[in-house]
Amino acid sequence: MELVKEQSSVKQDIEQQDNKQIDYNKISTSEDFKQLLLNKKKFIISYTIFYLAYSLALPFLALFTTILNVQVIGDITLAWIYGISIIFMSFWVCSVYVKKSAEFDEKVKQIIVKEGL
Amino acid sequence: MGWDIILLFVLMSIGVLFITYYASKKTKTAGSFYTAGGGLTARQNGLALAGDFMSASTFLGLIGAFSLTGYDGFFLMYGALVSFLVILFLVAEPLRNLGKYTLGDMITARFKFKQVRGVTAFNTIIISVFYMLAQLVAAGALFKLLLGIPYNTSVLIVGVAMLAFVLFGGMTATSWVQIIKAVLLVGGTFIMFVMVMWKFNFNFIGIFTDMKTATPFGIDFLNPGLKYKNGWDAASLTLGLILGTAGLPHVLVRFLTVPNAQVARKSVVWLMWIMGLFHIMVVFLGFGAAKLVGTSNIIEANPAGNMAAPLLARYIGGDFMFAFISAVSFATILAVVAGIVVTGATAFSHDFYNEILKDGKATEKQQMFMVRLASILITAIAISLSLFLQNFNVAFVASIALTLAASSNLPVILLTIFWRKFNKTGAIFGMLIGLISTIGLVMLSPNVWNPEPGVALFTGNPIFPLASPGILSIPLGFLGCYIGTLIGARKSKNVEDNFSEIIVKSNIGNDVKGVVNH
Repeated sequence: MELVKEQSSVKQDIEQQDNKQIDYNKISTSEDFKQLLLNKKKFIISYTIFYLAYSLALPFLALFTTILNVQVIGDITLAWIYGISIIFMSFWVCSVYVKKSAEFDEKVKQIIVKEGL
Repeated sequence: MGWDIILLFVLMSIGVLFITYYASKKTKTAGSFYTAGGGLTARQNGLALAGDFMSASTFLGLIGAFSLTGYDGFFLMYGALVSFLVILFLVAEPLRNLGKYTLGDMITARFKFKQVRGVTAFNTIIISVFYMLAQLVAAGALFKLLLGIPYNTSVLIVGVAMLAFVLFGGMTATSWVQIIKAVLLVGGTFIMFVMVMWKFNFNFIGIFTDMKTATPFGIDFLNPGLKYKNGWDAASLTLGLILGTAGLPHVLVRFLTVPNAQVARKSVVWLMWIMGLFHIMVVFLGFGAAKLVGTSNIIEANPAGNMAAPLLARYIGGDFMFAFISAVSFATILAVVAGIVVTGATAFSHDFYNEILKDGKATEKQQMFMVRLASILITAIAISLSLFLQNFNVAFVASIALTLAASSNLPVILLTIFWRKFNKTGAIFGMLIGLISTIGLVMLSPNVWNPEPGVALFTGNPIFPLASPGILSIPLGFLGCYIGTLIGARKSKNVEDNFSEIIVKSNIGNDVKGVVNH
């Protein structure tokens, strides 16, 4: 409602640009924003569970069991491959994040335009 | 100590002075002192972050750990890398979007109370001093070994040299020293890596076969469990490392030295690649040290293995390589300590002095004076404490700082951004309970209590069985937040809730006007 009023006068609009109170409640309850948050949440939570589980499993598998002591290539055991794989897992998860957040950035831009921020 | 070591140290010092001179011309305002004016690029900030994380204890400690404990070196190493995923996914962008100079800014963006800011700043300073202690103790031990300078003198030299460039150059000088040091460290590591693998004919599979007979541990060297007999201890350590970094104030501040969330994100990507490749090389350098230098020589030089890397450098590259690695280690310690001091001093000057005492109305001149005074005070406190701690295990002191960060800072950071019902009482409770429980559990742990007289501070059986308390203290930190929130729920009903603002700002960013103005 307030935003509509502001548009009534260009001059008033410019004046109000400086001390306009952004209506955060309105933005946070808008459908676009809620959708963005939901998508972000799904993505962040699922990947966070994955990389935490992947890396926290190592001390338990390595020290409570001996299943990682199997030789795979030459004298390299599964434990070493698991350990090094955490580094590559991190590269991969990181690149997924970058791709995914480029999508989110696009959504944010749309919201900014739509809400006239 | 040869002339080539002295020459390299002199060159390194001239370089640092040069950077400081240029940085001091740019450091005219408190904002530029605190966070380099928020003007770093993604690559610069990524390198500086990598620099923060490749501290002397990481570089020397990890190579030492792989050379002496074989597989168990992993438990000390990979947590730090994964922790940057936690930062990337959960902390970096909201922090950039909400904060200005300090962690206190971010938390008080939601809870606009001086108590909240005060507790956050207090926490920042405590964690910074602990982390700095670890670095200073390492510095003292290192220079005693490398150059034969007595412990107390080395700590003083590091403190004074670091203060000189912090006082004039602030965060800009700190960042540039950090960036150049990161390049030198990664470069030096790469050269050593190639030279070591040359000795093994670049046979990455055969080197494992060699390691079976290279150490007195035989095949056990390649299997987990050489050092960690208790899986819970290793898990607790890993958890502390993974979550601790995401709460370390001097790491978090790095996300305030960039202009926006996109750059913050890209700097983590730079960091990931630099650190990941560094970690892979570290594994093989540890092998190289064990095989070429020999376990007994490494232990003889330093029982904790801290000399494995310099000794390996001397073995493969002669005195010059030894001097180079020593000089880079010196620059590393300077840069890391400087970053911590700037963070702690900023919390003091910006949070305590400007925001709490002066209601945000302190002049630039007053703030510049306070931040410099605080830098001197924090350094003086850390130096005097470190003189008493010289016989403490460095990794232990550093792990307290990390666990403190994970238990007291991280829960509050996460809940501030993600939990609508979280309130002021919850934030204060969480931080204090995290802080107290970590220190309390450490006081009851095997680090402080040992049945054999003289091994630890007190003689007796430890009440808490694990050396690193993270696995218990981190959940306690979260629990503290929850209980505090329940207690404060009635009171905060009357307080206007600005979670909508927080969630919009942290997701949409500082394109919205009035959020951050650098």
